Amino acid sequence: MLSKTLVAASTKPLVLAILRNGENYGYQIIQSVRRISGGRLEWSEPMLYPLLQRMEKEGLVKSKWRITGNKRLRKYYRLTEKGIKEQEQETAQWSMINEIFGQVLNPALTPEG
Amino acid sequence: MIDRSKEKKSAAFDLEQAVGRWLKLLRSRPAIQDGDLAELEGYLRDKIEDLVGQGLSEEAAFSAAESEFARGEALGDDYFRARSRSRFGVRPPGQPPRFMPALLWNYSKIALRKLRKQRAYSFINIAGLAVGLAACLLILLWVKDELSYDRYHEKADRIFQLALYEEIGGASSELAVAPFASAPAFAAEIPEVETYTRLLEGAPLAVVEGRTFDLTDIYFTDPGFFDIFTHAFLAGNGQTALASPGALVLTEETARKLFGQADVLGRIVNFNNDYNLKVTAVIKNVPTNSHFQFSGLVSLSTVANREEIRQVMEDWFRVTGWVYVLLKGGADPRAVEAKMAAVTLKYAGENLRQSGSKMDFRLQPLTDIRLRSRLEGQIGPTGDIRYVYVFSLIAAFILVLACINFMNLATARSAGRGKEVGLRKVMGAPRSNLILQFMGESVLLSVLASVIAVVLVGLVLPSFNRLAGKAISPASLLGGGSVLALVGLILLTGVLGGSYPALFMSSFRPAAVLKGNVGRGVKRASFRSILVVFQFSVSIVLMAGTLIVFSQMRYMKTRDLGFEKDRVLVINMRDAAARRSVEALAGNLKSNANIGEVTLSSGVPGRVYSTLVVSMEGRPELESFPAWTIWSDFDFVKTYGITIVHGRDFSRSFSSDSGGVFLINETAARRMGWGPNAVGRKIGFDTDDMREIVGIMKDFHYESLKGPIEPLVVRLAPAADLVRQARFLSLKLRQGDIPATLAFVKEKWAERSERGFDFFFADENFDALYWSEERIARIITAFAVMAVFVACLGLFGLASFAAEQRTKEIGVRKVLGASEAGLAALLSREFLKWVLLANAISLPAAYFIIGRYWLANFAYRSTPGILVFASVAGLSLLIALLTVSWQAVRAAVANPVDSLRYE
Repeated sequence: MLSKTLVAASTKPLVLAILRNGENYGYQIIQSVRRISGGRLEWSEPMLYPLLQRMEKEGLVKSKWRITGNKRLRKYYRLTEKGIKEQEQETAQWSMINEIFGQVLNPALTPEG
Repeated sequence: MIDRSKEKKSAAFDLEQAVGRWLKLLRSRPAIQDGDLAELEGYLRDKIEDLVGQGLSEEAAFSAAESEFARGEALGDDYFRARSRSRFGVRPPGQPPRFMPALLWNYSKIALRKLRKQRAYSFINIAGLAVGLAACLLILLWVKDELSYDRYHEKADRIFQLALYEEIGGASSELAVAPFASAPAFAAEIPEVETYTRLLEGAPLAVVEGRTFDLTDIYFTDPGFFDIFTHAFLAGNGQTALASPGALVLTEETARKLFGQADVLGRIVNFNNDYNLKVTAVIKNVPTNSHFQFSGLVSLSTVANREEIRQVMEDWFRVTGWVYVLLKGGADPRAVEAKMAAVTLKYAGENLRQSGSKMDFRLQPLTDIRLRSRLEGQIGPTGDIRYVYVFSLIAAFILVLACINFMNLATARSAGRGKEVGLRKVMGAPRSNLILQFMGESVLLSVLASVIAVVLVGLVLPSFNRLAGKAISPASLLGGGSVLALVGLILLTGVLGGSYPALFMSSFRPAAVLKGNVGRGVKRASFRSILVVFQFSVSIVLMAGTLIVFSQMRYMKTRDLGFEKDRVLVINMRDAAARRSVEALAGNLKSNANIGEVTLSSGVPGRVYSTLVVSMEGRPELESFPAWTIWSDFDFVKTYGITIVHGRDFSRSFSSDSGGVFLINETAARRMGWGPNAVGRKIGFDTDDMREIVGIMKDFHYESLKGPIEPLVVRLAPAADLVRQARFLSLKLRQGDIPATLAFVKEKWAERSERGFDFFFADENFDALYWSEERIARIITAFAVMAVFVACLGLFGLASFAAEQRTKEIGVRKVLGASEAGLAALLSREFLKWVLLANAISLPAAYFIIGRYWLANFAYRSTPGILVFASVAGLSLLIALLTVSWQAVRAAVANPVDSLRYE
């Protein structure tokens, strides 16, 4: 189980990363995260919607209402240019942190070592 | 939208009903909006569908999905935060918004009700603000006009006036005029100089179809004129207008004056019965915000080959006209000045070395000529940037005064609104709401006031224009910038004026005010009194300033100038024909018993135009210095009643005099280093022609008292020279019927000249030297009156408020036997104390500021005496007393029964 702070911090980058694969709607996003993480990442699911709304306000995503096959209303989100940039930055930062961990734990691999 | 056919019915559990209940629950959270709800519902249904697909019953699936929303409260907050981030800060759900449009109606109703119910206060408030704003607007218009000078030229930033810095015999001067020879030299040798134009002033007699007109402000100029300056052509064009000799460009006004119409292209005008000119273009009148005005232009080539003009055009040491240059874009004026110095050395260096003098050219930016140039001999009247600053400051002060009134009155009245504030607070109004409400009210008042102010400005603008010598059109009030400025002023006034009352009133504690004790704290009263002191301080500085300025004006006009300026009639002799027959004219005039001495001269006190370099016999050329020069006949000293302190006056009985001798003033004698021994020595304008000094004149003021007396030489000119040089015929009138004498002179003039009879009296002429100061003095007076008016309105309002507040106290005092006079004194005393304090602060300030910054401009100045300050103090106290006593007396004589009855 991940710590609350880490979940909170990683939610936005993850949503951005998932939307990088294309337009998606809330329920599906949550399902993808659960599927990909194999259930290791548990989101308090409805909290995603305010987050999406905030991201829309920040201009990272754009939304569109659609009526699906079974006549249900769904709001689809997709990344904007700014969102794409943000996603790239965020991902780079996370991999950098990851890399640092690697180097901290394997001093032999660090340049000075 | 939801397809019910697919749903399985269950007797025990109705999914639709459950979802409906769930929706209803969420809908109750204010931060969750309909769109959010639809999205959340979609999520819930997807989830249920999935779970049912995994084999759960609808009921179990619903409760599992629903349980995720257990923290619904927090969800609402999340939504709220997502939305309200950054913009307005975080307002928790459930709290009313800051501004409720529904209350607007109530606000306006209350505001209007207050206006109606407190008519007197509202009047004082609005009238004070309106007068303050009007004064402010007038000053802004004036400032705008002053700053707009010459900016209408398209190439304004590249146009420069050639200023000449001269140093001759240790005396230096900076002149607006420059030698004509320099311009073509600079244009040829300095690549940055694109083109130039030279202006030679003339006042010809124009003959059109047999009728004659006296023209002034005609300039002879180069074709470059229209390449440099921007003027609108009604006919003709800038390229050809001045290209050939004999070309005449008229302004619309002059064209109408000469021909009665503006369509005069190709018509012929004769100048001075000498040469014919053809109208090649007609332009619109020169804008009033131009640093010089002209009525027509003649191509300089028309007169270029005349002997006297040829000298002017070729001699680097003759400066009789103005030169403007246009630099190429991006050229650095400093660099061009350096190159000009080199060119000057090349062309005039030899001469400069011989005479030991210096000559340097500076580039005076066109747009600075009006306000920032201090050059002598400027082509038109100049202003002074310091007056722009001072007036702007006065405008700001008057506005602040009006705002203070507003604050004072609104705060004073606030006691009556304590209950309203309390009630609003109890009903849940946050403080910010109340602040907005009161600010809104004050903005409303300032809008009302500004409407009145605009009307006021429209009404007084013609008089203001006369006062200030301007032609500001009412339309400029509506010009783009002005409207913005006005709206800005209104908002500023409203917000400034409303800020203190708004903050103060909104701070009332509802429990306290509803119980009825709005603090009549000492603190508030003292704050208000500080404001009154400030208001009166500003008004007193302005009043003192006005008086000091006027006493200086009076001093200058009444000071003994050292010559007799009364009853000297001076006739302008622009007509060469009239000058030639001046002997005969003078003879005719002397036949009148009322006319005493008559003298013909090149200059008169107040209008001495030429300076010439004076060399002294037996002294090195390096000691030569420039002196003001008047050429005259034998009777100059007698006509003007000038005292001779050493030697003698010009005299016909000395045959040697007629060849040309000198009189000098004491300053010149000192400058020459000879003092009284100068008599008998020889000086001259030309080392080959040295003449004797026959006498020394007592120093007299022949120029404005702004400057010290400078060296003056009067040269007795041979008749032939005088005809060329003389510009004025002065007549000393004896006591008697002056209008009749004037009519006589006019008649004799008409017999000799076709020119109009152009005359002035020497004393008026001298007073005219102070016209610009006079004008400033009048404007300041007008604004001082306005400031005092505004301050008095404020005092009146406060006094009546104080009287009202103390109704009961006065009633009690009266019942206990206080006299009416004593009561009135009691009520007035406090205010007078403040005004006295204001006097104590501002009189020294006025003395210092005006003495230091204004009076210092005058070489001869009056010392503002104790009388000036005493009268200002007395006047301010009197005005304050009159303002306050009206209310004080009214309160004092009121019947105590009325004020005490209701208890």
